[in-house]
Amino acid sequence: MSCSHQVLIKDPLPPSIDSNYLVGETTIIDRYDAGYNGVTVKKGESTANKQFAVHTAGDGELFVIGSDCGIDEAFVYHNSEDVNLSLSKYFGKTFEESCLIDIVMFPKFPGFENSESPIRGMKSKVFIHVIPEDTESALIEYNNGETHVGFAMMQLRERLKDKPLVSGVEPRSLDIVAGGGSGMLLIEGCGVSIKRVFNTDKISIRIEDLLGESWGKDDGCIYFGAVIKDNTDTDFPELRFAIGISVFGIEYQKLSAKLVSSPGSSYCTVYGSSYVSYTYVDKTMYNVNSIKFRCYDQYTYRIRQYTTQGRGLVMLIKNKEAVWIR
Amino acid sequence: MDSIAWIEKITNAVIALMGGGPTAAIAIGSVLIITPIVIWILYRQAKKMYHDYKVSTARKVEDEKRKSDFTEVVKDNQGKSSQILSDQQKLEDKVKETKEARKKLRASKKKNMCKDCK
Repeated sequence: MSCSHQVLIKDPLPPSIDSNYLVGETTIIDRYDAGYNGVTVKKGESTANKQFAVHTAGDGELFVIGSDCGIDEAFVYHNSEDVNLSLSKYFGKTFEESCLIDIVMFPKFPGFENSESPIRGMKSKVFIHVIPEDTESALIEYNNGETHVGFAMMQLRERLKDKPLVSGVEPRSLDIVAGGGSGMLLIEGCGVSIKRVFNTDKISIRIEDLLGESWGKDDGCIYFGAVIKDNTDTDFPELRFAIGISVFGIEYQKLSAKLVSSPGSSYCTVYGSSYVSYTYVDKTMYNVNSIKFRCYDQYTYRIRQYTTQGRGLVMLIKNKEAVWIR
Repeated sequence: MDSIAWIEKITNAVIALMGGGPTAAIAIGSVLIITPIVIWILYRQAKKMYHDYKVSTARKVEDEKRKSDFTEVVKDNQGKSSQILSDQQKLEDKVKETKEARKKLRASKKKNMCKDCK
């Protein structure tokens, strides 16, 4: 691999942790994500052999806090290892109650001892949504086509009070798939109460229905929903879902990166921001902001980039294409 | 060239003031050579001290920020956790209410339909 060498680069932009932007990667049961992650399980479902892992980069310390499920742990991590937690230890043999878990990571990048810039941490969230045994998870569709089962999460930029949404302009909306028929949609969360009759296959929920016309960093919330369908039988098929929204500051600048690969070439080059100090190709660390490496089609590469202000980016590359970026 | 000529003039004047001769010349020459070296050493030392000061300040800021970052995360988690429990319970209460209201409505419709059944 070839690369250009640098020292720890001072990042003058706002830290991710101050702006409440979620960065860290996790896997919860069978779902991997960066920033905000979550799954839906039924009450009484077994916790045995279910994975909860925090994917780290380099060396450092991390803390895992889940007040509702008694998680209050500290870990030292080394060499980009996966920190695994036993769900059985905290939830018991079965899932009984929902739990929001916050993770904060403080990396120790090589050379930090001589860095004139403070190295800032990174946050992430995981939500385990437990629904009643006799219900099913609703399918949730974003307007970009992405789907989630039972729990959908998003990070939205702060919207100032003096610059509210114009009625009818929808930056983002979600569709709850009711699967035909008619019935009632209920949503509860952070003082918001929605009761809506539906008779379509999909029920659209706008962000302003939940957050209003403006929202700040403290307005993040998890909204709980139920779809009760009309049925002439005595048993109603019921659906449950939850929508997790986290709000980050207007000042925050997301990291970006560009993948370049030529047809016929066996190399990929990732060009990152000039403020990036470290790039990881899978678990190998490089003190660079751009990296050229040999990439084979049959393998999925995970590229991660970080600045000293805890701004981070994850890119998954397969068949020389960036298939996923957070 | 002007500056070199000026240095030459000043040097000669100082040598003359010191009584002339090779000793004066050697003394002046030594000062001219040693002074920049000493300045360079002092400059490097000052730069290192400033760097160490900045590094020490950065580490202190890091420690302070880490304390406050961690505290904020814990407070936020605790606050949101109580909200979550309460909201999920509210939803289930509303679901129960809605289902009961619908049962009553269906029962009342059935009753009305069968008014003349007997």
